[in-house]
Amino acid sequence: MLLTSDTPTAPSIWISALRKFYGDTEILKGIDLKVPVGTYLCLLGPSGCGKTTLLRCIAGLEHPSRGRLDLQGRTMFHETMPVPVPAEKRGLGMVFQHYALWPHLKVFDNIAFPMRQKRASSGEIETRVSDLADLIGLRPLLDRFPGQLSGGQQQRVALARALCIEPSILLLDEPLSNLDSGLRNQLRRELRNIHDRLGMTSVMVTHDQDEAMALADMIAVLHEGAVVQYGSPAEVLFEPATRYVASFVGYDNMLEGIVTDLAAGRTTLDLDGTRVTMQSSGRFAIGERLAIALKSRDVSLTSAPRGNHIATTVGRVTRLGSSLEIEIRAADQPLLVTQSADAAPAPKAGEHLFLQLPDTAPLLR
Amino acid sequence: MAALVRTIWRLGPWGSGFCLLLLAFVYWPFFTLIGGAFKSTPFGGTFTLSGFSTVFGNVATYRAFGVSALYSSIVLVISISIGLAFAFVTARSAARAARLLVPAMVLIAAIPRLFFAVSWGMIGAPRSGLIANVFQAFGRDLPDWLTVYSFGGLVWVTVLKVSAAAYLLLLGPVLQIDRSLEDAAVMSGASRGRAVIQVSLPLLTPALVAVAMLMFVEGIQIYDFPALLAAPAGIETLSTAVEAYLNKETTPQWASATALSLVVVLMITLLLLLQARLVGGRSFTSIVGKARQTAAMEPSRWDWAISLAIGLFLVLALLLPLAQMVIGSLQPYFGMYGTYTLANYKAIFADGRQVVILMETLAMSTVGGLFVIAVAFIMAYVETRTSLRILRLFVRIASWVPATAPGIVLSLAFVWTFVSTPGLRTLYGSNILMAIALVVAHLPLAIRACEGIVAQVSPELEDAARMSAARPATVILSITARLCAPSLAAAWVLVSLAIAGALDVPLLLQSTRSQTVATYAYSLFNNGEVAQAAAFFLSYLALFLLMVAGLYLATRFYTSMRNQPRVAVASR
Ligand SMILES: Nc1ncnc2c1ncn2[C@@H]1O[C@H](COP(=O)(O)OP(=O)(O)OP(=O)(O)O)[C@@H](O)[C@H]1O
Ligand SMILES: [Mg+2]
Repeated sequence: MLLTSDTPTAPSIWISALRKFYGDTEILKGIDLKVPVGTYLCLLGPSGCGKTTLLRCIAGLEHPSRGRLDLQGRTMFHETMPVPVPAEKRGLGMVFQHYALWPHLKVFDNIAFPMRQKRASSGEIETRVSDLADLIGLRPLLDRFPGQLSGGQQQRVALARALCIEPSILLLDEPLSNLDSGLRNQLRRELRNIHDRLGMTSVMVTHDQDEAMALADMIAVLHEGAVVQYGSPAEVLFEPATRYVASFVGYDNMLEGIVTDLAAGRTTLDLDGTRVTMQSSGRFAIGERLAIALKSRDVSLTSAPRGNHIATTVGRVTRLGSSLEIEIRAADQPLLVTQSADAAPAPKAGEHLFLQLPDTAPLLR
Repeated sequence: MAALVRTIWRLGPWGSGFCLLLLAFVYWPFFTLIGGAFKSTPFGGTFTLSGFSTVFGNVATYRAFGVSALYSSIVLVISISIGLAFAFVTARSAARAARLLVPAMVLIAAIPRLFFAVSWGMIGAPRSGLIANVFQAFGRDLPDWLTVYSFGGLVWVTVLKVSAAAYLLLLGPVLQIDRSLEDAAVMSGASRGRAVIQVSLPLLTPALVAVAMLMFVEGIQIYDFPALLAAPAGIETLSTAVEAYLNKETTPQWASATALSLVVVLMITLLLLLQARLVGGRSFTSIVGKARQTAAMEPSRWDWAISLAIGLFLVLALLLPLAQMVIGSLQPYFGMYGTYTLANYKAIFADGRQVVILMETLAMSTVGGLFVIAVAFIMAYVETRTSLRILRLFVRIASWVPATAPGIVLSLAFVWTFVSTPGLRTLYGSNILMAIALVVAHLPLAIRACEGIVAQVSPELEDAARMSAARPATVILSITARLCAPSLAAAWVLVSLAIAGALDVPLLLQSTRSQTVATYAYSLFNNGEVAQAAAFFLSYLALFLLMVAGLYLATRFYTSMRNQPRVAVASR
């Protein structure tokens, strides 16, 4: 069925085959995303992967070179449109990484600016700004200039300004990255609360996976200008789609093996002679080369074989504060295991132990 | 063709109108100048090559080239040395007098050249001047070689004035030098002085080359100093040679003047292109009075000498000319020391014509200055922010085109344009056309200043306004222009002063209906009514400063009213 733009189920943001070039370099390589109304979406990816570019394309501050972008059922950009809808006519709210507060306007006037563009009456403006000030905790700061605020306060003002016209979509470009960790956690919770209370769609750019996991309903992982995975935080975390996503979300070991047997929901692999059976819903073929993605914290070494296991030799053992970092070799591949320093007696170099594999570990091509 | 239509579509009516304006008043005069070089007169002349043959067949042309090149080179070497030395003093010295440098240099740079020329013309005049009077007090005559009306005098006066510009252009780069690089050289056993020469000077080379090229071009363009100080001694530079073809011959030699102009424009274009190659796209902006807070500066045992040098320079370049102007304006006749009277001032305000000139110049320079800043700001804004490559190129070229023409040549180009364009011909000789020429002449400098100013506003602040549903015009007016307002206001004051002081641009465009303070003071000076010229010039400066002070106080009052705390909201 073809979903036309004006069906009531139209996604809040609908991006299809969006590409962006700067000169000859392709920065965004065909992005497809459908974001349902009310979703908190995080764009996650390393520096330079095109997150900001994508966000600015949604905002209308930059225009894609190809593809199509619909917001709230209205087409904002289409490669055949002579003039795309300009940023100021899209009715979005945006929070910038460096706040972008206007230094010549007081906090009140900064927040009220978007309403003034809509020629709201001064009574309306007063009520709205003071409501927002209460919501975001800015009440005592309204009469100051941005230069007289701390970083956290400035970010709150930027948020209030973006929310002022009650946008149906809120865009945030690394809103928390300039704050210290305590403040970051607090503001992160507030962001999610406000999102839930106002019921808009939010798109936040971040390169911090923990932040994305904590906040998002949906995560789009970007890599070199393409979306490599789009799913819920649990999906991204427990079923990473590619090795790249896996390593980005913290799987620091890859154990290579070859598929020897397939049964309903189970995949058996041969790891240099040792066989292990993993739970997996992926569709693989016998003889295919796969990697078991492992987090160094989620595996353990034991002296007796138990469950899925593989024989290893202990290499160097390094003490890092309260944890031990153990380099081992298993199936002729180097791996890293991290365990608490005072839990068990520390393994010694050259010792032969067994590595326990969690049988839900993701399998990757 | 289709591409052109698409571009116009994207520009919209306002953008296209603005481009049309640039086309008409910036590009078009230069095309008519090129065409004019092959015509006998602007008043319906015929095709001729006689202009070029006269110019290239005349020994005086080559002499003028030589004089201009020599003059520019000597001036640039001396004034860059002085400017660089003082810039280092500002950056490094703890001497008390060093703090005077920035404001004093801004003042020297702001005072119109003509004011300097007139003033030093008085100080160094053979019999009645201040120096001659000092000699007479010792029962001697001023030796001929010491007169200011000579090549040496020309260089001397120019250097005093131009060093301030060199200082201001070099201060930014000097302040940006990382001190720790020098410290590293000192730790490796070099003396502080050697560290400066071996480490910091090489770092400054790009800036020095850029400033030198700009000053060389400026030297070729300067008209007022040579006209007042060298022409009486029979020395011609390129600028005065163009003027001589028109005003010193029995009938104006339009073809020759225009042909020589075209040659000069081509030469300067080449120099500017070379400069752009050398500087290699690196933007070069001057920073005025933005000294960075660095480590406290150590007093040294040479501080007294530094203070002395600063004092001497300021006396010669600022106090003496000002004092001579004031004293001269109070003398019944120039050179008559001992009796002082306000008669010159009374005469100005009793003469309706002179009051009109004062007022018209005030209007022309302030309104014209406003136009210059507005157009320059828009051009700088477009240049830095547009994504339309063709538009950027169009604006960029327009921002450099007037810089290729000395004021006198620009004046000539506008004569050709105004006379040969049917609609504009009726306005020829009016204040409006004079004002247009003055605006165009002052654009390049203002654009360079505005580029630096606009660059200081982060694009994110504009994006934030657009995301707040502000229309593009609102973004520019209430965010960018508002943030730039203090710098733009300062630039406006400087440009307005420059417009009022410009002698070369109005020279060919003036008529009995339209004269400026500069051309009128110049004619007074040339007719020997030196005291009146001084009084006239000072009256203008006083009027102008009064107006600026009034505006300043009004803005202060307005902003203090606006910044009253919003009691209603804060207390709820
Ligand atoms: N105006 C531009 N011209 C040319 N290339 C650009 C421009 N803006 C960005 N790029 C390039 O596009 C790529 C993506 O940039 P973008 O700012 O979207 O990255 P990002 O994912 O937001 O990175 P970060 O996390 O560091 O902010 C980068 O390689 C950058 O160099
Ligand atoms: Mg970014």
